[in-house]
Amino acid sequence: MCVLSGMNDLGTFTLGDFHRTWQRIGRGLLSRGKREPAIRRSVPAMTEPADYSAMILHIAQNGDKVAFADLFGYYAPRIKGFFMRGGMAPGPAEELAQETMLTLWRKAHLFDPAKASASTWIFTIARNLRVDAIRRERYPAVHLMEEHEPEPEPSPSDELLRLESETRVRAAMQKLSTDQRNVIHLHYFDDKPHSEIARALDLPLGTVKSRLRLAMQHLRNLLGEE
Amino acid sequence: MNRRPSDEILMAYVSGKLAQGPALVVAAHLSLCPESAERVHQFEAAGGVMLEQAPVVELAPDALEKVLARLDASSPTQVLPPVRHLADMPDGLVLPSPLQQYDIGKWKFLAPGVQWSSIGKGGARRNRPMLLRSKPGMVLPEHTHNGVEYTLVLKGSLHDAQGDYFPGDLIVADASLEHEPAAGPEEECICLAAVDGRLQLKSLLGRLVQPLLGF
Repeated sequence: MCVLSGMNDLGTFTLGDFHRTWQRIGRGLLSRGKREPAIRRSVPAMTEPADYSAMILHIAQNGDKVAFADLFGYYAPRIKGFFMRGGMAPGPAEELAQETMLTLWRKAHLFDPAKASASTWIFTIARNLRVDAIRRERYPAVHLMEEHEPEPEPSPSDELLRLESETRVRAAMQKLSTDQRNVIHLHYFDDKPHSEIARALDLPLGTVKSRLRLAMQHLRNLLGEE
Repeated sequence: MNRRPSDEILMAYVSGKLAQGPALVVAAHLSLCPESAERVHQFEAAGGVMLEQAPVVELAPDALEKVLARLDASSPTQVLPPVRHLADMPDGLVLPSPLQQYDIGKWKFLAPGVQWSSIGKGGARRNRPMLLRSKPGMVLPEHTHNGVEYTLVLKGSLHDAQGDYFPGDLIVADASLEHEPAAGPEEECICLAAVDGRLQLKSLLGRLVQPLLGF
């Protein structure tokens, strides 16, 4: 609440500005990573960073296909790349990336910007579809997909708190060394066994295990003990 | 032994690495534990960052057209078979929301004073979660595991050499522990349990009921 009233005192600094600034900061941090690819769009690039959360809300409210095409242009190739990194062949990865975007369209009314950023929410859709496809059973993780009471009016303070929290996570991820981030990605998100990681990184098995342990410890310290 | 799952377990849950049964137990725990839920949210945000940083792999040239064409098609209304809850629950016990989408079987005899009920139909049998219901003070059947056992207290309390556990507490016991929890003396105890790996019930009674459990 106090954050919000402070912002109001600034007069000109709106929630949208905050969101855009946050996204700019986030993207700036990310673009330093060596693998950050150029952003490609299916629609002409806008002059300011895209507000993907707002686009999902436009889909929920108006069935906005232009917003959908824009989201598709940014996320679909990354979702496909994410699945392929995890070991999926290009064909199934393409198909599942399309399903992820279709699910985004159909579930857009469940998106709550006070609970998650666009990327976080889309990640959970992709994660669930991947598990469902591989194991042929529904992954029980659903909390971001649950029905929620429509807010009588948007609650910007909740959204701000969520953005702050996600900004902290972004900063923490950035402070991990590339090696640490990589080993977390390989072990958890790509679901690679220790032995395969050891081969891929040309490291002894023991080093992989200790690096993973230290990486999680470092992340825990950066996020703060719960 | 802990009342909350480790960050490693929560990260495995977030990344989709956890087996179905343990994932359901963790999901149920999250609905009861705001601290774990917040940690999961942080890790999901980390997943969002990972997604943004994923390699950009272009889709087929007509991919957007194909998906756009499907947007207006009425989404296949998923006719899910109605969920059946055959095990009666004591008054006042509301099962955590992740459990409510699953069939829950009847209470069956497991040991004197202890009943169990299977949850869901899909998935590997040995990873299938179950509800355990124990009379006050009863010891749950002694067992060792090759895998990791996840036990979430839903009602009453559980006690073992490591500590006391109350509703919402998640006990994660790995293979190195011989784990013999007892229900508290004050009231019956209901918990949700799943095993990641093969469970071996050790006592004679355990050996007798093992075929029933299908482990």
